[in-house]
Amino acid sequence: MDADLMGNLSAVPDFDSPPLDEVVVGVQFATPLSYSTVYANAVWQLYREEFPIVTEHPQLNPHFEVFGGNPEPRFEFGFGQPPLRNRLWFISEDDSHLIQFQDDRLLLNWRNRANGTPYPRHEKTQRTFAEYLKRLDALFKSEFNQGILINQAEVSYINIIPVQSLAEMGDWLRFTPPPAFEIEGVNSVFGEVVRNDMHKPVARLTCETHSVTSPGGKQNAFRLTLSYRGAPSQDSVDSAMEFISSGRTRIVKRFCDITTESAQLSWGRN
Amino acid sequence: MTISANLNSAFQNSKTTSVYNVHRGEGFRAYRTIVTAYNSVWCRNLEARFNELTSLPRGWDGYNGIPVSFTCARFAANLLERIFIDGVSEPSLVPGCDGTLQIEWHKNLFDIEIDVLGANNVIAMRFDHQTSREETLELQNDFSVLVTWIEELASERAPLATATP
Repeated sequence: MDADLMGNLSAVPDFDSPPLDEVVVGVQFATPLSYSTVYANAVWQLYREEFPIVTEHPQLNPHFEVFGGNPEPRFEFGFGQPPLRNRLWFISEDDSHLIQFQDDRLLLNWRNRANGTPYPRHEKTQRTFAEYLKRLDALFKSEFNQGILINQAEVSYINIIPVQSLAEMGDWLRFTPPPAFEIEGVNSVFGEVVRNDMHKPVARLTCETHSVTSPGGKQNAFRLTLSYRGAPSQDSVDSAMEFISSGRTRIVKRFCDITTESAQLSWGRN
Repeated sequence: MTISANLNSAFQNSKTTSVYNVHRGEGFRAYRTIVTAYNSVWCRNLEARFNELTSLPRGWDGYNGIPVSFTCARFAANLLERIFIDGVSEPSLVPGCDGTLQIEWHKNLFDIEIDVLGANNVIAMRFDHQTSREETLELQNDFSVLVTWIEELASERAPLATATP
């Protein structure tokens, strides 16, 4: 991986109180041929001490970032038999962290909770996720004679920016509609292709902005989601973690590009 | 469907347009948005074939053949959406006995075969009957060169000269 893609963590701005609502790091991998639902309990045992609560959810469909040709397709395919297995959430006691596991995914979420663990910062989150991945890798090696073969990695930062009125958009975000507009709602998505020094596409950074409201419509806010997804250069855990680290660097830099200086000051930019 | 899991987020979209989003506020109505919107005629026409290939019975080839893996099929569908050019007929889809998938065109004096061996693992071969030139490429997730191949597949070409007795 080239130096720029690796990123320089020391060059990344830091915030005392960023408007973070949720952070997700994760990987997608090839399902081991002999995997079946009976192994799900063995997977939970890997994390049970830290994540004692289990809930079940519908499976996420496979997702691949591919490049060249037509713009990114937006679709859901309906072919194939219905998924045989579910996605499991292993949830921490304080509800702030959870692991999402299904036969081809492992994700770690941190969620903003009133009485939950404060955001532990990226470096710790990344170390923790690497440790969780290595546990799963070891289980796969012992049960399936093959470690995790990662085909996609991702990192997402989801921010909530409360505002009195959507007309304040320009105070927080650099891209705004003309001031004469009476804004009823905001929904914008833009993506950019990230290339390495050989000009080869390696990832896609997506920025989504939606206007949101609290229950009862008392509080307006913007939800600003930045996601970095793609295939790591190799299918190993280390390569995936490198990819996630570089993604986080790019997300923070892009966050600074699209938010105003006054907004960054209010979040305690260092 | 989303990877977001913040059920307790106090904020909800005023309008949902994203394909993958699931937003559920604690104590509030849960809703899910799944949009089916094919971009290309190819994938629309190939939906039944994808369905057939991912549902093949084990031993379908008379030996130990397994159905096309959902991962290969999804990746192939993503690839096809990327390289779709209006006016070119959809390719043939041929299953591999090991769960892989081959995408084929044989037209305009070209043979194009794209082997989807897995996610980010593609081998593409093109044989030009006019020049007897064969190209083989190993591809991961950048299919720009295949767009060129499909454009040339669609272009007007002089017929192959036949030998006169």
